[in-house]
Amino acid sequence: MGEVILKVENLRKVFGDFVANDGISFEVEKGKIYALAGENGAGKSTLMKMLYGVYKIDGGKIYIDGEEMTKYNPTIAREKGFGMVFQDFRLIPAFTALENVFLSTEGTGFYFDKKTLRSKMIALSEKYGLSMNVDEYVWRMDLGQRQHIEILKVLMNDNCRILIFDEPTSVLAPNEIASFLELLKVFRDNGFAILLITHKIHEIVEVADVVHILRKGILTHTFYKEDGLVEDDIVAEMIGKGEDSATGNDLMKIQGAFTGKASTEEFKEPVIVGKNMTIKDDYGRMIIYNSNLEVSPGMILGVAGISGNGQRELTEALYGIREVSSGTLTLNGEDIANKNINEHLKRGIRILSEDPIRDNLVPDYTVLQHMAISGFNYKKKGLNIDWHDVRKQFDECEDIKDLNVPAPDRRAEKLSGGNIQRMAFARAVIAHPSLLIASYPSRGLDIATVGAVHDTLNRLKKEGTAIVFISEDLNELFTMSDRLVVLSENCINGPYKPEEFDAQKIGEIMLKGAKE
Amino acid sequence: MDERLTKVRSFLLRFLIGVVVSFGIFSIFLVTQKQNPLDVYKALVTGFTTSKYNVGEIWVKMTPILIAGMAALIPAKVGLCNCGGEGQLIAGALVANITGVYVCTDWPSYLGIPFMMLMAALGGALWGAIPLFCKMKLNMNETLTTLLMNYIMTRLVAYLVFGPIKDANGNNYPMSARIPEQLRMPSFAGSRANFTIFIAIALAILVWFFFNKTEIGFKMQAIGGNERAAQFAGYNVKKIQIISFLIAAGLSGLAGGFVMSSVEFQMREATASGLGFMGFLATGIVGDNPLLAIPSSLMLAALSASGTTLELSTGLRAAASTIFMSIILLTIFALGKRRKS
Repeated sequence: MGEVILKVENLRKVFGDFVANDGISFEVEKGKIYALAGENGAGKSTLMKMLYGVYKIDGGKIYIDGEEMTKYNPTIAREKGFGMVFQDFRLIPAFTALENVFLSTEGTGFYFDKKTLRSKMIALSEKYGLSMNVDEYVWRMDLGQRQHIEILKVLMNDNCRILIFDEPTSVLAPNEIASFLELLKVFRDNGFAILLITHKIHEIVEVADVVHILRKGILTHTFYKEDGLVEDDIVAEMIGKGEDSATGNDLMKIQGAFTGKASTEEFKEPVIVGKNMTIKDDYGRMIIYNSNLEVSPGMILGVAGISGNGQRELTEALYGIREVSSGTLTLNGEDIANKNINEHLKRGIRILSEDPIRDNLVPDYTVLQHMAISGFNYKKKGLNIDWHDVRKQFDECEDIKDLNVPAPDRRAEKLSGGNIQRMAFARAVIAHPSLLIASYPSRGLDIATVGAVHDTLNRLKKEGTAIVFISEDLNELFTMSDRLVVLSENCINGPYKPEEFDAQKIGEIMLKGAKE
Repeated sequence: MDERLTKVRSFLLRFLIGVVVSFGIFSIFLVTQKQNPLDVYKALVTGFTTSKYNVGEIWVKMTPILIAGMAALIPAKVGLCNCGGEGQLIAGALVANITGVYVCTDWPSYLGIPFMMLMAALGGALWGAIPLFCKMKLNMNETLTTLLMNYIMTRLVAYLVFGPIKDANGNNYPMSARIPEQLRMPSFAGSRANFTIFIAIALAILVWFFFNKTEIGFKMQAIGGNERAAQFAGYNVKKIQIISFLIAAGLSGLAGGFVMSSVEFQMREATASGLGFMGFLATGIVGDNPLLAIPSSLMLAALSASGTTLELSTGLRAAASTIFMSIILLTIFALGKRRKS
């Protein structure tokens, strides 16, 4: 048994009415890797932020070296030897590695002692096998090297003995992942305790000594390496198919409901066909590789997958705002890949983006003005938009009433997230699109509006709209979709018929990819 | 629309508070200079109310300031920052001078003046096109490039007036030749002001109308509000930005042409300097509202024209008015920064 550094008891964190973490207890020993696994929103990051002192705990106790921490914040956490490597790198590209590390080093005083810092950085790099030229500019480095700088920043603290990694591999290329995992083992063998937040099963099985499963804010299960780590068991626990689990029960119900659905439903020729599509993300990496996609009129194609697996890139490519690097994309037989976005709009393609604030919102404009930016086909009055006409359409529009869109004269910057979502969704559907790309349409909405969103989607489907429906809620995906595809391992896996599938199988594909 | 009204009202209020507070601060400065603030303010007011010429000087300054203000405001509405009004305005003045002296020397007024103005506008647009190209093709930050282009223009003018365009009959002063008589715009009797002030005010109203009452103005402001949102709506963002910026730079150039044809007639090193920057400030302090830019540029023009009056009547250096102007600007900016989130 190693030495226990950290012990937590009954940790609890509440945001408003939402319980993010509850009753969490575990111990952390030197020289072990602890994986913290769970789906999106299971409360992993919240837990880590409490351990690092970013969030104040709402209940429970934190002991470090057996001493209870009554007062706790990130500064104390660092003094006690915690080091957090953030998922989004906080580096200045125009500076060198050395300069970036200097920026985050505490207690160096006014004078920039490059010599000492450099020799310390080089010594640490050599000790742990970090590959880095300390005088290289960050903008010239790949993501793996940038991560090494982030790690170095943490190691500069001589007290450091607990390393926290938040989804460290999500930004790395496959070959970088392998060497990263090796690096973790080196740290472990040097006596560091490591807390690893991840949802990638391969990695957990490869490096973890202890695996904590977090589901809906509660630590539901713990696996130990001595007992053997089995991928399928871990997946099952993460998704929660056990009898006692609420999620599991819900999923059972859904599967029951599906027996009633006509599985023989025939669909017409697909409207939109993507063949061998390769799509790159903002860093130029192929996030979707050589994949196919087909959607027929009157079909809801559900897209499952852990977020960050190409959902955004896929929807943007379909909408025409992102390049399809190779392969074809056709709408009714006509090639629309990389055509001007207006060509897409003209053919009735509409999108609800995953982030309407980023992609749709003009803060100074009113709700009505947003409807004129896109949505209504308005008349013109002289040089101006006929605002009376827009207002009339707004007042008469059924979708707007059903979806409870905020009043027309409210300024967008003052709307809540839910209201923005309502507005953006209404805007995407009022034109009766031929293809609707709906990313997380029920995000941030209350149950009644979620119902209205689902009704709207089903009505559009009856009218013959082809719908690409992205969600991270398996429950919602199973109820709504006629076909399912899964984004994982840089592929669009599927299509699958939901009634022939269950959450367990989808979950496995989400986490491990389709083994074919 | 109520919200917009309150917005305008709050601007006006801030503006007034700013001016009042500035008077207070400036009074302290005046006391340190052993002046009675009341006497100085009185001298300012009488200077402007008793002399037609002095009032005319305000209009003379206000015209280019207001137009150059629009040259900063229009790009701001489409999400670009044009700090280059200064250089574009000087480019316009320079081109107008060269056109007048070398090209349409013998042309009648009704042909020569419009042609000169057209060339001035093109000159400004061309000068603006350089940073615009850097922005659109090379992805360079336009705030910096437009700003730096101003200094290049200043140096260019210096080079030209000391060499290539120096007046051969000018006793070797670093000045260009004067444009011929018939190409000068007539002024109102008793002052240097002329009808271009009405053009400037009409332009500000037109710009307001354009942004508030037309479809394209609506779309342009959507781009300024969120470029990505405009892209998602299928707007041709780059094209609109390019056209707006060129028009704005052209307006700056036109203002320079006005200065050349109505006031200066010849190029010197410092001809038209400072007007473009003041225009940028004039719209900046009123939150890019074209109608409010009219009073704000009037105020800046009055302050900058007051320097000589102050010097003559109180013995203060002309630079004192610059200090006063800076105090007002800083105060208004400081008040304007109180925005939520």
